[in-house]
Amino acid sequence: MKDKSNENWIAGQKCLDDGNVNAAASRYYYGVLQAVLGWARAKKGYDRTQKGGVHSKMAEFVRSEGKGRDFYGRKFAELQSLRETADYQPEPADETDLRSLLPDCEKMREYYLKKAEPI
Amino acid sequence: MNTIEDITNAVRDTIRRAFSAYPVDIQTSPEEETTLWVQVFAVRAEDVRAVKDMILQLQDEVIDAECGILLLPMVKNIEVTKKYYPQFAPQDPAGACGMFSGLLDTLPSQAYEMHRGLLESLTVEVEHPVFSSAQIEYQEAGYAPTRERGRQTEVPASADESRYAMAA
Repeated sequence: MKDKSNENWIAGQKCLDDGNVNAAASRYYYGVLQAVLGWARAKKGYDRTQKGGVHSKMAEFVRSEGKGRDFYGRKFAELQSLRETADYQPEPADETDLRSLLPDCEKMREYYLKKAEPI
Repeated sequence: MNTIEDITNAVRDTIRRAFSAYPVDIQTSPEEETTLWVQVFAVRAEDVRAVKDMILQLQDEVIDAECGILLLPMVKNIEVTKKYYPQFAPQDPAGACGMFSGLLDTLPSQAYEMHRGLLESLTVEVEHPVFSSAQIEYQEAGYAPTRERGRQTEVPASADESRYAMAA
């Protein structure tokens, strides 16, 4: 999942540079989600047969993992809100909100990519 | 408190208690039944962060950690509400603009709070279940009514929970 996470994150940067905020919100979100998913599979034994959808399950993992769980749980929820706004709501995702989330979301993504690596 | 209905009611009530002027609508995400969109409309710019933070805090305080329900804050400012969700937008002075409950003598200040920054002045018409209607006209500068008409002068204690329709 690391390569896919990197690919989505870079695509998010390119979309944002090009002014495509909705596409950027979606790519950035999946960049983080895939980092968490890779860690959950490698370290938590997560598989698709577990109860609950993958998005809410990954959010639950983030909210229960590590010292920064409350902080990053909220940032992840805000990024998902922007992504679902971009995907389903009539208005565009808010660019200012997205840009303000990116530094913390990048840290979160790097944290889970690192935690997923074999010891 | 683990059912979606219980959580929906608790979240809606909590937001309404803190931000009574803003319409709240909670829907299930099209992706997952356990993900709830907590939509709050016509939020003033200075309140947007506080409303979002309240929803994110409710995730931790109201919902059991492992029940799998996720709250997503979707807070719409006034501009977005007017453009994309006109049904939730503040009404112009020509139309009905809101309903709330409370003592009649607090109505001018409540109406003022609801429309602060949106109107220079407002005429409030009160439909009361006991007394005849009264009209209170007031100016934004100061809460005190500048003129009262009608027979309504006081509200019995039993009317605390009555609902008053307000039309500008």
